[in-house]
Amino acid sequence: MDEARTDQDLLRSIASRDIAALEALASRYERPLLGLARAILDRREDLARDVVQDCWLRVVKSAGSFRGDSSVKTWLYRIVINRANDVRARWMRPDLSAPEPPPALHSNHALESFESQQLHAAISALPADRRMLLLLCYHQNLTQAQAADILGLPLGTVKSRLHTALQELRSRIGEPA
Amino acid sequence: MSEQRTKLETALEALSRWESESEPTWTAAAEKLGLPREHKRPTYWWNKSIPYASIAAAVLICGVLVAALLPALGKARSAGRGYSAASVAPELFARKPDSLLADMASAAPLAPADRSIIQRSDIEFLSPDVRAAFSRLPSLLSEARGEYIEQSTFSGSGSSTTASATLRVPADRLGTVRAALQGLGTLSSESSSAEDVTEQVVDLDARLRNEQRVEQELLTLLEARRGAPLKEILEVRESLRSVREQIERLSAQQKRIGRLVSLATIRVSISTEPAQPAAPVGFWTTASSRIGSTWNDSLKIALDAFAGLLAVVVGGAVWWFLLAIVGFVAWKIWSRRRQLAAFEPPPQL
Repeated sequence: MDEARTDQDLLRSIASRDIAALEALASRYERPLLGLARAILDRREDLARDVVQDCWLRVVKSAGSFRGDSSVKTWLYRIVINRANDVRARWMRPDLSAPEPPPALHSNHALESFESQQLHAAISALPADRRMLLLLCYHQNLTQAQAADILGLPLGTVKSRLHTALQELRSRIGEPA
Repeated sequence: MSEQRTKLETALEALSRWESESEPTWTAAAEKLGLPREHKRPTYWWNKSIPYASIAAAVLICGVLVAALLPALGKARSAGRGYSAASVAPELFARKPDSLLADMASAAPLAPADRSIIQRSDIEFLSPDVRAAFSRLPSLLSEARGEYIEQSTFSGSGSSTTASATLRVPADRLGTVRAALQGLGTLSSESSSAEDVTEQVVDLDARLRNEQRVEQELLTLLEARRGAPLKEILEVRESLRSVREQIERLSAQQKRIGRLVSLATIRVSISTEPAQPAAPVGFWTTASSRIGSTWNDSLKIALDAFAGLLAVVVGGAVWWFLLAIVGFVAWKIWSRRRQLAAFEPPPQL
């Protein structure tokens, strides 16, 4: 029955501490949010889980004050991105150009291909705004318009920056433009 | 080129894909916020129908019982005799459930041994040595049997010394302890009372059983409606809390009455025994005794008078001093006038 309800409806129920509504909303967005948080946090799954858990805490606490200026999905992504950026700034090493492989417990790093590692290193070395743009624009089922909405940028700006970011990424991984 | 671009884009997409299978984070968040960690279950039509099904089942059982009892009742009436449970439906009562047995047992008249009676006894003693009698009290009780002094007071001195104590002893030891107390002094008064609280005990038991049954029903309801909206669950929990409070209150009352019934109360008071009058003696002894007592009395009166005088002198020192000054001034004025009168010239003729 909850599958038919809109995100706004679920948020209203969450405001009245309806745990079933929270479960329904989480079933829609938890995995994408975890994936994005992990990508921002250099594949640290433990930190990603903390970030998304904080996101749900904030959702329950602030559901009643959600004005609806943006979609619930955009709101959730903004919460996770802001929180992940905070965590990254506070806990992670400033030198991200050559990231150490995280512990095996936190990722399946050992199984990843060399190319994937190379790509990840190149993305980590990008400036924060371009890295975020790339991650969002190629995130699951997220359109460029939605990415622009989440980042608060005009769609045209997003497209031009994405082009620049892709070129820089290709040059870093030695791929011809 | 386009193949490479697709490969890059695929790799970028894979970067933010979550493939790990682990416990969801929202449950931990809900736990932190104190939301009940219950997984939502789909609500089916039979979930909502459980109360109606229960009522239908109850009606059906009642119908079967009535159908089984009525013919036997008619037979008993037509036979012109009174009916009992066994005569109405022997096969039914041969398989009566435990709860029915318990209810029948509670409704039957109680044997004297099953009655709950609170026993109290008040005993007053006179003793020449109240302190000694009072100190013997603990030795008369048996700690091993759970006997103890609930409360005790000791006050006064000399002939006005009094002591009292409240003893708690097992009801079956009341007679033995009372007999042992006789050695404390001269028995001046004794009274006993007994209060039958069987009705209260039975009533409390019934109410407690009923509340426990309601609690069980609420728990079952809570279990059956786990997927219900939070508001409904909270309402059921509130009812559960209220029922549990009532159960605790009734249990406390039951325990208190149980304690009063199992332990009889003996209130003991000990007062000083007045001195015995002296036995008659000879004339000289009596005379010397009288003279001695008279001398003592007069000496006491003289001492009292002296003490009173001393109190008047010392206590009124300020006033005596003021009076002395006034007297001195008056005397000086009077003597001055006398002197002037002596030098006054004789009247002229």
